[in-house]
Amino acid sequence: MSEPPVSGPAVGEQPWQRLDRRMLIVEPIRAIKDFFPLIIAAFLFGRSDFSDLPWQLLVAVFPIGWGLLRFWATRFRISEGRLELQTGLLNRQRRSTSLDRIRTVDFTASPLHRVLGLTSVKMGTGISSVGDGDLVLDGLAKERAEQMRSELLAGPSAQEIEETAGSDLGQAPRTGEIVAQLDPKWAKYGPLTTTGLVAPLSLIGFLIYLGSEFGSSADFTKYRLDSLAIGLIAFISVVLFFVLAIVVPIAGYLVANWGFRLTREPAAWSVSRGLFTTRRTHLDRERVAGVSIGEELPLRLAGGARLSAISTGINLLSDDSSVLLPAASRGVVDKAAAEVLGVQSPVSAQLRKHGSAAATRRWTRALIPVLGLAVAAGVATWLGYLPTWLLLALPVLLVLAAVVAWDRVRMLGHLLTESHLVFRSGSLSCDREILRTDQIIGWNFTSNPFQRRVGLANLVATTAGGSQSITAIDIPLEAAVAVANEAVPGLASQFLAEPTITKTT
Amino acid sequence: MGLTRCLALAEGLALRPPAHRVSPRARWMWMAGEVVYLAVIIVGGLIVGEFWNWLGDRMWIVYGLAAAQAIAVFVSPFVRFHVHRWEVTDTAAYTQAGLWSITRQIAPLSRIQTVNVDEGAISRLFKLASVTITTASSVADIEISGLDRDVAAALASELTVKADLESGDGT
Repeated sequence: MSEPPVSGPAVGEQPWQRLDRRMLIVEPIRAIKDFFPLIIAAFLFGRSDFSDLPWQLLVAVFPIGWGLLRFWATRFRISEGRLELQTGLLNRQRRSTSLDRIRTVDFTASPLHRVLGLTSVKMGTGISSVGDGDLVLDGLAKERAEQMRSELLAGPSAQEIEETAGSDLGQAPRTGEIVAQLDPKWAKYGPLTTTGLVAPLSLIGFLIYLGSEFGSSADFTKYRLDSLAIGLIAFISVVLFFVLAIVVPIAGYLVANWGFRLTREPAAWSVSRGLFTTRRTHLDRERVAGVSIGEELPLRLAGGARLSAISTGINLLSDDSSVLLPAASRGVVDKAAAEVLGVQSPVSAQLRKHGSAAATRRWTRALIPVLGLAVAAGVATWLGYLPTWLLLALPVLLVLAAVVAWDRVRMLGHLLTESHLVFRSGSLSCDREILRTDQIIGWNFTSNPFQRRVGLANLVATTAGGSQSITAIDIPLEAAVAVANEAVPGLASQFLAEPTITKTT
Repeated sequence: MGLTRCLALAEGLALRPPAHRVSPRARWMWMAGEVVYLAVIIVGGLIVGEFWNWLGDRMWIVYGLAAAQAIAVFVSPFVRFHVHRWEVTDTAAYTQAGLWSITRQIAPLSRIQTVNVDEGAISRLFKLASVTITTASSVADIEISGLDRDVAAALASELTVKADLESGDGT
C-alpha cells in the first residue's frame, strides 16, 4: 500500500482565485455600515472646533481600508475535487470541503449586489454540526456563480444552464419546469403563520402590561387620564394592532416572497424569491429526503399550508433554505409536495390514529395545566392577591385548551406507505412530516412511566437531513415496532421478541 | 401491501431487550457520580445558605434537595443497572438506557460515521469506559456507558471493522 504524499505540490493543482472585483465597491460600503455607530459617535462626541478632525477622518477611513483588506484576504479555489476557501485578516481561516458533499447552493443578492450584477454563494454540506458545514463566497459575478453551481451540483443540468446570463437573478433559468409560482392572493396567509402571529401577540402582552400598570394603581386621576385620553389610547391601540397583525405580515410576506417560483431542474429543485434581496436556493434532488407540510391551526382554518424540504446540507438553524413553498393554498401545497416526493399517497392519504390512550394523554396534558392554574388563581384571589375579574379569563383558557386538545387528537397520526414514512402531530403548530424510508438511519423508542403504563411510546426516525429526525408522539408500542420493522427491512426484525415471550408478559 | 401494509403485523409485535448487561461495576460508578452530585448540593447549599446567608430561614430547601439526592444515591444506580443493556449484531447496534424515561435505540452499522471510546475521570476509577457511536443524524448518537474497559475496546474495534465492511458516507 503506497499512497502519494499528502503534502507537496500535486499535479492538477489549480491557482487561487479572488472574489469578483466589484466587491471592492461592496466591501467598503458594508464596512461603513458595520462601523456606522462608531463613526457617528466619533463625530458626535468630537470637539466642535474640528481640532480632532484628523481622528474623525481616520475613524471614517479605517472601515474602508478594513473592507478592502477583507477582499484581498479572501481567496478560493476548486482543486482536485475539493473547494478550498481562505478568509480572515487576523484570524486566518482555511476551510475545505469535498465537492461531492455539497448538497445545496444558495444565491443571495442584496440590492447593492443586484445593482452591480453580483451574488453571494452559500454552499451547504451534509455536516450536521450547526454552522460548521457552510462555505460562503460573498461576491461572485452572476454568470460565474451560475457556472460554479453547475460544476458543484453536477448532473445533466450542467449543459442546459447556458442562457442564464441575460436573466435576472430573481428568476429561475428558463430551462426548468415551473412547479409553483406566487399567487399574490397567498399574502392573506401571511398574518396566519407562526411568525405573522408573534408581533400582534407581543402587542397584546404589552397592552396587558400597560393595563396592569394603570389598573394596579387604581388611581386614574393620578395620571390625569380623562375619557378623551383613554379613547385616544384605545383608538391608537386598535390601529396599531391592525397594522401589526395584518398590514405588517402581509407586507412582509410579499417582500420576502415576491417573484416566488419553485422550479424543477434536471438535477435540483430551485426556489427563487425576494423583492429587494433576491434569493435562489438549489436543492440537490437526490438529497431531498422528504418534505414537511406545515399546517398550524390558524393557517389550516384559512385553507392554507406551507411546504419545506427535509434535505441533507441544510443547517438545523437556518431552515430558511429549506422552504419549498411559503404559506399558500392547500391545494397548491399538496400538488407541489406530491411533485417533489414523486408520489401522491403520503401527502393525501388518511393517517392511522394512535388510539384512545394517546387521545386521553392529549386531553390530560392540555387540561391539567389549566386546572392547576385555576386552583392557583382561585387561591390567590381568595387571599386577595389577584383582582376577581381576572377569574373570568379561566373559562376562556379552558375552552382554548379544550379546542387545542381536540385538534391535537384529530391531527395525531402516522402512516407507512410503499416508500415513505408519515408522522403528524401538533395543533397550533402542526407538521405533516414525510420521510423517504431509505433515508432513515436509525430508530429511537422513548417512553416514560406514564406512557409505559398504557402501552405508548415516542418513535423517532432519525435521518441526516433537516431537523435530523421525525417523531411520532404517543404511538402504540406495537404499531411503533411494526412501523420500524416494515419501513427498514432487516433492521428491527433481529430484535423482535419471540411470540412465546410476548404471551407471558 | 399498499398504504396500510403495517396493519397485518401490528398484532403482538414487541422488541425484546438487548442481550447484554453492562459491567456490574457500573453500579458503583453511577453511585459515585450521584455522591459527587450530593456533595455539590451540600457544599453549594452551605455556601449559599450559611456563608452568604441568601436563604435566611429557608435552609429547608437545601436539606430537601440533599435528602432527595441521598435517595437517588441508593436507587438510581440499581435502576440504571437494571435498564442499561446493549447488543451488537452483524448489521446493527441496539441499546436500552434511561432512568425515568427509557430509550431503546437501533442504528444500522452501515450508517456509522465514528466510534469513540471515552474514559471519564470517575469511570477510570472503576476500570470502565463508554463507547459512543455517531451517525449522520445528531439525534441518533448512541452511547453505551459502564462497559468494562476491555469489553469497550473490543466492541469499538469490532464496530469499526463491521462499519467499514459496507461503503457509503453514512447519509
